[in-house]
Amino acid sequence: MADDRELWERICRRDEDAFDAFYRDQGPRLRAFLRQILGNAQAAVDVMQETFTQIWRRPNGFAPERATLRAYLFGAGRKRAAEWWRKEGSRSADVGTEPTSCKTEASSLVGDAFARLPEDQRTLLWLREVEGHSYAELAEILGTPIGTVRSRLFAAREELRKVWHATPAAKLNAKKEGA
Amino acid sequence: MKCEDAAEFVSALYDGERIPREAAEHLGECETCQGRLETYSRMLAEMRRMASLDEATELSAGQWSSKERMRRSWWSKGRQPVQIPRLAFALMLAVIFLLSGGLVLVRARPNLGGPVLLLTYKIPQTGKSVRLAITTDANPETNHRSYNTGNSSGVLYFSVRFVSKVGERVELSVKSAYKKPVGDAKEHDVKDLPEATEETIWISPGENKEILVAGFGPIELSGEFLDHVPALLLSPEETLDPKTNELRIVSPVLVRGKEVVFNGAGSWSIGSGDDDLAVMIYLPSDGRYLISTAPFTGAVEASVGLGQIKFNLQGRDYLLLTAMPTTRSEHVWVTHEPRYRLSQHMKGEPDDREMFLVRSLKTLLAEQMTHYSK
Repeated sequence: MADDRELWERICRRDEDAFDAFYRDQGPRLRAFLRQILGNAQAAVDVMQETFTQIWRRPNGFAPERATLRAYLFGAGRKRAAEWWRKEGSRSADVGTEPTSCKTEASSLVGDAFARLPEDQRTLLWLREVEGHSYAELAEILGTPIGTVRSRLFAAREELRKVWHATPAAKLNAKKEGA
Repeated sequence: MKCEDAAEFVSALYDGERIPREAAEHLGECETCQGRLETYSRMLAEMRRMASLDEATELSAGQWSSKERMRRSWWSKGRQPVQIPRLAFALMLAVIFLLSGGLVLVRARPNLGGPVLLLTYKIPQTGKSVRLAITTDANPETNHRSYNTGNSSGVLYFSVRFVSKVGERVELSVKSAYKKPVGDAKEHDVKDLPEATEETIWISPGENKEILVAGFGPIELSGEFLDHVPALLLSPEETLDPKTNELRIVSPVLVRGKEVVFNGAGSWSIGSGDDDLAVMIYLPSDGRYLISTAPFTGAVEASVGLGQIKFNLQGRDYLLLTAMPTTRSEHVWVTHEPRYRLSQHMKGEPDDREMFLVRSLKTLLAEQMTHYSK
């Protein structure tokens, strides 16, 4: 990939090949992130498509001196996800005729614990642990001071650790490891 | 230094930050803090494993590119010159002149070639029909719609998105999926569904298209144009008045005194058939309000007006405003439970999200209830 500034200039010049490469490179990661915060695979694909479409149609708001293009993309994706929650969350929840119950998709213990965290903690942990964003990038994406990012990350990790350790299977594993 | 004081520095150290000398010394000696660091590391590895599984799924073509290329292709073709015999050109002008009066008549007729496409899904297996209205433009907020329905025999999901329009022919991206129960499971959620299959179809008004849903069978799709977006998207043919034994809540706004405490603009929930229907409005900071067409224990009586329900709870005046009349009843009954928590009533639902829904009062008052999740 070209550096961010050059890539952005090409996108602004309507260079489809450059944008397609950007989409192929970052699309799967953005989709995985959205899937975690929306809890819905189909919605994640839709919101990812809308995010890229929005950037392609109206490429503005990216400042290379402040953050990376990837941080800008994830920030845009997160905003679209928030809009989805406001507009589709309650609507899709009520569509249908007969009630069904909820199940999480994650199969692993950490995955189960992660799915139980509040949305803001899931977002923060995913962006840091999986996407590897720096504190400065996280501050840019989330619109919070760096000091707040640090303390929130600690709180999120502790919450995940507590929820994870509270699951019966995790306790069993812990006993086995101790034996 | 104590472990609780050092804990935040463990997180910082894990992120590659420098930490104070006192904290560093404590970490070197304390097994609890070292264990915490190790746990963080294990959690990170597992999260990255989850991400790797997710990212491995194939990426579909970007919608941004297909629309853009299609537009560009038509544009460049439109700019190319064509050769046409003089006689054919004169004939074409004559035909245009003769038809122009007719064209005016066609354009003035209602519901033809309008900006809204009303789609009907017929589900032969259940005898049910579902209607969805989408706009035929580039507005991503109105040009797609999804629907899911489920019961003990499985969950059926489908969605439709406008892609392009040529004359009265419309290109749609259609997705569908179906899942049967596994083992003894009696209930499902759309989150359990396999990846929806996607196909692109062209449809004209009056035409029937068959969509094959894997594991379920064919469903039929047909469409017609409307010149407006119907107020009730799932029941576009409905009139403004609710039916007997029907409770409609469309775009509700709950006002306490002069304060708006809930705003569900653009969403709706409708129930029918039961004589004890109720709407539940849930607010993370204020518990839940139940408004029922039947009296129940602890409820106060409220008056029903045109698109308004007025009541007084504990000396405070409330007004529920809705975009459409809610019920044929003149009175409804209301309670407020400030300590109600959604997660304790509906397993798996988050407590921090506002919501409202219409169900039978009996269902809403049950100790546990199930509900379609997002």
